[in-house]
Amino acid sequence: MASVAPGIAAWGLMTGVAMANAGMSQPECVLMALLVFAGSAQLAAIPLFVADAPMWVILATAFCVNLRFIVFSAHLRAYLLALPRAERLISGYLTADLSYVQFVRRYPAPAAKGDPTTLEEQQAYLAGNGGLNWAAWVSSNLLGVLFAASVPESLGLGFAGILGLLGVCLSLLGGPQTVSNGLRVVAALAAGTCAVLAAGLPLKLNIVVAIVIAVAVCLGLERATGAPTPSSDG
Amino acid sequence: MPAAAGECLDQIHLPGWLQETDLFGWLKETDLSGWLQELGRSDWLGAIDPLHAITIVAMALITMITRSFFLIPERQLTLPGWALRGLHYAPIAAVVAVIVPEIIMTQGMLIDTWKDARIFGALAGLLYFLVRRGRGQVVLGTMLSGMAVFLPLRLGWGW
Repeated sequence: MASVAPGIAAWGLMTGVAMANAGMSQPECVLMALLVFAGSAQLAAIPLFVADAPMWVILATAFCVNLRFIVFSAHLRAYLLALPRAERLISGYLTADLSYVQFVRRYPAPAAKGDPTTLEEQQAYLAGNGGLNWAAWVSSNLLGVLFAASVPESLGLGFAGILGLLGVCLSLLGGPQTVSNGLRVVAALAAGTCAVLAAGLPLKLNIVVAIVIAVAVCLGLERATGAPTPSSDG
Repeated sequence: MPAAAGECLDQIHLPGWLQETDLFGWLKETDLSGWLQELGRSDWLGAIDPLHAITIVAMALITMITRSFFLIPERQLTLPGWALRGLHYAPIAAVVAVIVPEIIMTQGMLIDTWKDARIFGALAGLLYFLVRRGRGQVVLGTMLSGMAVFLPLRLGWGW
């Protein structure tokens, strides 16, 4: 993680600047930087906060963006189940995209049943890596928020948040091969089209409509084309 | 710090190494409560919309719940197949639904000119991603290369 921490910090810095420069108030940005610890969800929430979207629309969007973590957690269960629940929650909270990817690359399988030392080592690696990631993210996020106070909003640095999300979206297109990348592209196209067509809806409901339609279309296409449906991803 | 709180602190026995750091002495001297009161009086915290604050706290809970979803129950949990499949499509759908209108719409209308810095910024980011084939710090790179095109166009040409 130390090797990618500077990259995390740079992204956190830009996200902080984007939050504050897009028009969220400074204390709200600070609160978000301290607590939320999910870059993509934070970036996705900014335009909704600025447009005064209702709470449930913001939360539904953040939830959908974060749904990928549920897949991760199914995988991490075998590594962490021996820990008390509170520690599992903390470990889970700290494990963002990069920490997860690095963890499974280093430990493709959980330690064997009779090997508690290796299992503890794996758990410690996950939590330590996540903690470092958290520290890099939160501190750089806060710095970005403070820095943005000295930059006029008219500069348009808030757009950096949208560009960051574009990068997230392109990375998601090449995600794990449990679903076809073609259908991921379909999801992206359907969601983008619907979000624009439904833009006349009040309360930023176009986002919710777009997500529902895109997911429904993909699930329907899966069924129609007889794509393999594994019973579980864990 | 108020005197009553100071007396409370005196009744607490600390381990030796903590006594040496004189943490409580420092706490008594710092005017923490005065500082907090001043913060409350200032406009800074006034800029928090309570509803926004609740939303942000709920977002933090969402982070925790989604990341720990299958870690929470002691017994193995099963989701219906369609829900598991949907998990793979929802995040990308959500991200795209948020960004596309922000790139090609203004005030709820499709933009009617190609002279818009956002389009070229997004294209530059896309190009960067394709050149790097998604390797390395692509999110950061997409962001920076996009801004490198966006800012001159917006500030220099007013696009």
